[in-house]
Amino acid sequence: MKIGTFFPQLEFGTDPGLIREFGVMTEELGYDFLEAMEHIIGVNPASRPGFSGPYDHTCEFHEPFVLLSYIAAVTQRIELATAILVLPQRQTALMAKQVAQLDVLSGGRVRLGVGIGWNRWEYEALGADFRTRGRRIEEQIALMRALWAEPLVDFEGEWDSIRAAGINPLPVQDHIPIWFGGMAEPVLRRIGKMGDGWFPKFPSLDPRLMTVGLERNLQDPMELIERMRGYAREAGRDGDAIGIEGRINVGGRSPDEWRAEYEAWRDVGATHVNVYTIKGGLETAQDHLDIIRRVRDELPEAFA
Amino acid sequence: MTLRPDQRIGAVFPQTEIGADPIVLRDYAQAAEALGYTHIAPFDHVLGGDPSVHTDFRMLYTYEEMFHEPFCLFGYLAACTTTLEFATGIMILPQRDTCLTAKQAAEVDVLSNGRMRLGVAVGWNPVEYAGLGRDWKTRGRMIEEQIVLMRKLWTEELVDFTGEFHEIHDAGINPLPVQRPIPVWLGGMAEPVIRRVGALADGWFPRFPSLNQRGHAEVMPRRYDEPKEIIARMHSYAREAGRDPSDIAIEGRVFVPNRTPEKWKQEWDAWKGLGATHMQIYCGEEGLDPDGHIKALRAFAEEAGAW
Repeated sequence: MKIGTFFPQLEFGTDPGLIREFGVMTEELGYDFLEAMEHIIGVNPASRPGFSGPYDHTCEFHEPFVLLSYIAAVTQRIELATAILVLPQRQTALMAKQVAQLDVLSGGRVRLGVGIGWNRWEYEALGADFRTRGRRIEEQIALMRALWAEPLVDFEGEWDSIRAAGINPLPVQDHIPIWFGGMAEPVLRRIGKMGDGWFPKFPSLDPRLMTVGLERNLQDPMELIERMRGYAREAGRDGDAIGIEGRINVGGRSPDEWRAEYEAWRDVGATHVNVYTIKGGLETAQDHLDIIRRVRDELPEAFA
Repeated sequence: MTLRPDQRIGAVFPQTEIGADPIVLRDYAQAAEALGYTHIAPFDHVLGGDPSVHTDFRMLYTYEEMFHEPFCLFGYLAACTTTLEFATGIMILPQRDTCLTAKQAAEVDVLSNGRMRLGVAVGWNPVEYAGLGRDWKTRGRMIEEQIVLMRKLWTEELVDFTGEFHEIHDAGINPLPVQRPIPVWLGGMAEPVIRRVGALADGWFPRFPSLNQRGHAEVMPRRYDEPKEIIARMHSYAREAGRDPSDIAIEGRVFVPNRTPEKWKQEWDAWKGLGATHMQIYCGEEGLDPDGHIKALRAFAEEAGAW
C-alpha cells in the first residue's frame, strides 16, 4: 500500500513556512503522496435553518491548486492529489487547465480526486446547480480528458461546449488518474465506468465516521468493493485495477489503533492509505508535523 | 548593478517563450528577483482557438501558444522567491468564476505573504468565453460587479451581495488574504475601461502606441490620442467617482530586445513624464529563448539601475 499525508486543512493555519515544511517533511519521511480536500466558500449555518454538514464559514481551506503548486516547488517525488475536489462547482476548462499546469509544475505528479459534494448551500453561493451535479461530473470528466489529450478539442455537451480550442501546455502524464469520493450507488457505478480509484468511507473501518453522520453505509466493505468492481466489468474494464484509498485516524489515538486501522484497510485490498491528522485534538501546526513523523516511526512496515 | 526597489520595475513574464520546464520557470523568477525587479506580470489565456476555424476575428494568440496558468504558477514561484510581487498582467476576469478567482488570489497572497496583485481586463477572445461557459456580451458590466464582489470577499468573513450576476448570502472565503483587499488593476484602452479605471481600479496598465512603437499597438488602433489627454480623462473619471486621482497607479512599459539603451531610457522618460508609478519591461516577440530572456533581464537591470 502507498501511504500519504492528508494536508491538515482546518487546523494547520496560514504560515507559509510551516506549510512548506509539511510538504518537505512528507517527502523526507518517505510518504508517497500528499493530498488536500477543499471548499471554495463557507456558509454561515446561523442563516440556514436545516443546514447540516461538517464545514462552515469558520473552516479554513487552502485552495488546493495554488497550495499543491506551492508544495510542488519544494518536493521532487511525492504525488500531489486533491481528495476531494468538488468538481461540478468549478468551470471544466479552467479545471483542466489548472490540473495540467500543476502536472507540468510537478513533473507529472498529479492525481485528481473528485466528488459531487454534499453542500448545496455552497453550490448556491457559487451559482452552480446542485441537482444536476451527478450527471454533470461525468460530462466534465469526459471533457477534461479530451482537453488533456488533444491540443484542439471539439465538444458539445449538455453543460459545456468548446469549438476548435484547447489548453497549452498539455499535462506531462499521458493519463491523469481520476479518483472519486462518495458512497452512493451512482458513485459506485461511475467509478466502475470511468474512475481510476475510489476514496470509500467505511464506518466499520473508520470509527470516526460513526459520529459524523455517515452511518448510512454499514454494509460489508468487501461487498461494496465487489459491487464497484462488478460495475467496472459491466463497462468492459478491469475492476481489480481500480485503486482504493483508505485513511487512518491518528490524532488522539494510539499507535496500536493506527496499526489496526492500517491492517483493516490492507485486508480489504486498499492500494493507498492516508494519514488523517485532522479532528483528533491536535492544536498546532507543529502537532501535525510531529504526528506524521511519529506515524513513520511507529508504523515502519507502512514505509518499507 | 541591480535595479532599486523604488524604481518599481517589473518584467512581463514571457509566457509564450519560456517553455514548460519548471526549473526554468523558477530560474527566471529567481533571476528577476536577484536583479531587483519588483514584480513579474504574466498575461493569461485559459483556452487557445484554432484560427483556421475561427476566422471572424483576429486572434492575438492561438492554441499553439503556451500560457502557464497564473495562479498555479504564482503558487509555485511563491515557494522559490521572497520579495517578488506576482501581478497578473492581465487576467481575463469575466470568463472566470468570481468566488474561485477571489479564493485563488487570496491563496497566492497567503502563501507569498502578501505579494499578489490582480490585473484584470475583458479580453478579446469570444471563443474562450464560450469554452468557459461565460457571456461575451455582458463582459463590461460583469467585470465591474466582479471587482466589487471580490473586494468584499477579501475583506469580510461573511459577505452579503446581490448583483446582476451574483447572489451571495452570508458566506465567505477562509483564509482571507494578507492584503485586505488585494490590489486590482485594469488593462485596456476603450473609453469604458478608462472610466472604470477612474471609478474602481487601484492601477492601470495603459498602452500608448506613441510611447512604445510596437508590440500589440497595431491591433489596438483605437487609441492614438495624446497620452496626457487620456490620463487626464481617467483622472477626471476618478474625481467624478469621488476618488483622488493620485491614488491610481500607472504601469508603463519599456521594450528591451533589439533596442539601444538610449531608446530604453527614452521610453522610460516618456512614461515617467506621464506620471507612471510602476514600469515593466517587455521582451517578447523578438525570438528570445529562455536563456535570452534571463540575459535581457540582466542587460536592462545593469543599465537602468543607474537611472
